[in-house]
Amino acid sequence: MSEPSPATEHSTERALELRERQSLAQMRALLDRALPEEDLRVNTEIVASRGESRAAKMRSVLVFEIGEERLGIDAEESHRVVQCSPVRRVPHRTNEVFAGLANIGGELTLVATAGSALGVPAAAQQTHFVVIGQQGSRWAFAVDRVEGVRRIDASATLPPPATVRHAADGCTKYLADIPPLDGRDHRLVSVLDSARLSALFARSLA
Amino acid sequence: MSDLGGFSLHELFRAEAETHAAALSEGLVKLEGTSDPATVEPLMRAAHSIKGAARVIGLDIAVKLAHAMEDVLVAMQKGREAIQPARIDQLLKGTDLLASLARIEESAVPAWSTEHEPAVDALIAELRVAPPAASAPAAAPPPTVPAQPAVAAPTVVQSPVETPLENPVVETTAIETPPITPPQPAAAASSAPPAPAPSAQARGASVRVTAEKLDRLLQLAGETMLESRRLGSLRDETLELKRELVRLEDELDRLRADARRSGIDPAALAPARKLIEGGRERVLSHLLTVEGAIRRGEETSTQLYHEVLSSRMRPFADATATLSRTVRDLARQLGKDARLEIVGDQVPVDRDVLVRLDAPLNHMLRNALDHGVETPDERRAKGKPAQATLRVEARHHAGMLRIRVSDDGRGIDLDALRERIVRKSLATDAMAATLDRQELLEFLFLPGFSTAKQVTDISGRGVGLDVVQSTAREIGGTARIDTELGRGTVFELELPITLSVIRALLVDVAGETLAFPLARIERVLQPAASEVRSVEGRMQVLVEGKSIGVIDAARVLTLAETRRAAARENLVVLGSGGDHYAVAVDGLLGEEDLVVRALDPRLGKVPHLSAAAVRESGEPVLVVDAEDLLQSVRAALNEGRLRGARPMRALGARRTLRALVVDDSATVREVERQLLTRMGFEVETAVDGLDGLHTARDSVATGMLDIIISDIDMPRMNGIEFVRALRADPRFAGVPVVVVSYKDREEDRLAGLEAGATAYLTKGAFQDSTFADTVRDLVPALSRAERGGGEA
Repeated sequence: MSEPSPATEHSTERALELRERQSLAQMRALLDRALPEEDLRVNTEIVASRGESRAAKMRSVLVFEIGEERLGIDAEESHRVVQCSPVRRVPHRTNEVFAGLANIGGELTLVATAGSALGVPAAAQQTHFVVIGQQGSRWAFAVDRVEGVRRIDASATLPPPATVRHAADGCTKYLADIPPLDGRDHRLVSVLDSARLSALFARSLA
Repeated sequence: MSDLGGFSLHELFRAEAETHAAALSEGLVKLEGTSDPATVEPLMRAAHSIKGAARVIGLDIAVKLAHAMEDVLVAMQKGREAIQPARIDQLLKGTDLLASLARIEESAVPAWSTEHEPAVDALIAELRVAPPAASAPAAAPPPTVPAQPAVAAPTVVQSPVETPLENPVVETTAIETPPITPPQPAAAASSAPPAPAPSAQARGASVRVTAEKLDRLLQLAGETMLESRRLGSLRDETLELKRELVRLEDELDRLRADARRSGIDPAALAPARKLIEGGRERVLSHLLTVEGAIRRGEETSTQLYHEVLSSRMRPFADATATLSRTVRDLARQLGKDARLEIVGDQVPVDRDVLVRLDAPLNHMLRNALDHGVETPDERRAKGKPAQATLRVEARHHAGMLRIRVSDDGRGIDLDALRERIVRKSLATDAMAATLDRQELLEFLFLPGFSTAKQVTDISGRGVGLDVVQSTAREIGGTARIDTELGRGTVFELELPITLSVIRALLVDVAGETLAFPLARIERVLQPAASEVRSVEGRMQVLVEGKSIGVIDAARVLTLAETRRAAARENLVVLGSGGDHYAVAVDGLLGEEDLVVRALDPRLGKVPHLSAAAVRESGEPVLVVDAEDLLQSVRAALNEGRLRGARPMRALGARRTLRALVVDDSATVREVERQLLTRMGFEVETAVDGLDGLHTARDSVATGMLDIIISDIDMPRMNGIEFVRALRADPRFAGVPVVVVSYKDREEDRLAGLEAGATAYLTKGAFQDSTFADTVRDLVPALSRAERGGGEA
């Protein structure tokens, strides 16, 4: 293979440069042209509608585990999550569901055993309290593990099937497909209704 | 505005006007007594403040009234006007109008204004002219009299809505610092005419905070204190880091020795050593910084905590502010002459206790004026000064607040009292004869018992001295009366200083930490387990030759089924009225001051518990209601005895009819017990609703009750709650409940019947056959038994 002459080399270079310039000019023309009315309208619609539906369709769910169950609560319905502290049993009142009183942030809070209330066997050692409800109607319940707050697409939720084992107590608001962070296979989370959960706990005191 | 803690502007005005009106009322009465122009200033400012507050919310009627009052007070202060009772009366009238305005809701203001405008205008007109009797007294120098209209005239011209420039608003806003008077020992508080300024000013500068918010603050302050203590772990970690560096240094030293032995130049290790040394120094200085920060944090947060805690305390003066006025008005009304001395008005008292003092203090003073104090003529005839002296004294004594209300009146005639007790059928002649002085005086605390010859408007309104005793009891105190015929009467209340802090013994029961209030503990024993013996199947321990029953806390409190075996028992001895029981606990954890909080209302009335608290360590604690515990123990033991006796009874021809009497007055209990026993009932008694409920439930084991008689006003659980609780229990659904109360208003009757009472009688029912008839109607088995002729 002979070496290309410097002249040819030179002309090739120039040709390339020219072509480049041409295409650039074409591109610029394309970009600079006035936007057709129709395109503008459609694009505006798309952008606007996406923002709207994105906001409406995402929800934050606090995901935790009790025993074998992955459960959740809408983040805005949870008051706080704190490390477990000692629970004082209350004479004549403590039972299967009502565990006793704990000092949570200086507030003596009623603590329920959510596992018993929902019929889910819990682990021996629980790590965190999830606190729900307003002052005066506040409840805390211990959970085995907290996965954290997960953002989910609301369209990926299902109504609770009638046959869900703990649906007898009617606390499940919806089921959500939230893949576990540790890659396990257990994707479905029962998201609980905090008001119904509070009512269920309160029934233990009646 | 949202930062005002949820109060509306009108509510703020009401709060402010109320405070200032109280100060005015109190100060005016004092002013009348002392005629000292120097005491006018705080009153002037009070009137000015009401004017300012009224202007803010556009309440013109209050603006013009307060303005006119302020003008008169200014004239008095400047010496332009003499201080005379007639003028004081006008000012008091104005104060009352303002106070009544402060009591009504915003929505009621227009109606009030329409209704009272003429009276307000008339009063303003009176205030504008020279005082009615101004020209008469020689004390007023002639030149002052003509000067008054001249001074008053421009003020009249001035539109009342205009702010007089000479009165800068700053003067009266909350910028004033409250005089923080250190709590004085009662002895130091003088009974001489007290300076009028402090209380009025202190209140003027106060800020209203809801009790709820204060409680929340206290919780947060407590939590802050705990958090800063937890920081101690930071220090421990840094300390551990320092130790590690020291170990590293030792290791390096060893290496250097090794190096030298193996012929390596130890100098090669010098840079490493230098690094470690530098690190150690930095850790050390860090440690000092951390320690300082932790210490300061702990100090500040502890201070904060105690400060918030003490903000619950108010001077006793808060409870006495309106008393001088009450005494003055009442004495005038009764044609008597009396002055009130208040001693110890700076004694700090928990606001929860303070608010409870109002009714009892009023009743004691009303009673003293009405029944105790003689007319001036009578007093003179007896060689006493015409003016009687009433004294209200407060002081701290042995950790309790002691309040004495005394008069130098005629005292109580014990023989007359004894006669009256018999006449009211509250005791038989024979029984009355055996009553001693204290027992006789106790009758004065009975509902509806009044020693006045006729029912008067002042103190004989059906509610009376029983309020004094029931209030004292409800907050864990006592009330007693003493008297000396011809010399006077003394009421003495002994109350807890605060309801929010108690000194308690912490114990372990089945792994739970519980607190027994020290005030309820007789002693603590730790006998060897072998010293606790079983007598007739019950555990007993011998203390100073006396045998005391031992109960197991864990079982009574349903915290554990079985007791842990231990070589030594830990016994907390509780007692009341000669009864003693030892409560066996699993461990004694020491004493601590606890800030108690009410139990969560969702838990309802929890038996044997009175409150909850958070320990200094952050751990929750439950406070034991020793009284309640004792009562259920007593009931349980009694029941055991009854059960042993019952089979014998069951052999008898007819079933024994059983009644339960619930009343907090021993006398009423006894009267009812005797009546029912005479009718053929076997009667059990209980001292309040809670005790009644326990007794009723326990008695089910031995057969059903045929009738229950209950009072309404009782400590711990009142009759209404008691009846409701009974009705909620299907076992008592069919049992007739007769409420016997001194309350005879229709709404009280309805409240009783609504709660589920079968019949509602007033205590007058004992005087005739109403009570017996009602019982016969409600217990058909009784008439059958009577017809059968078994009745004694």
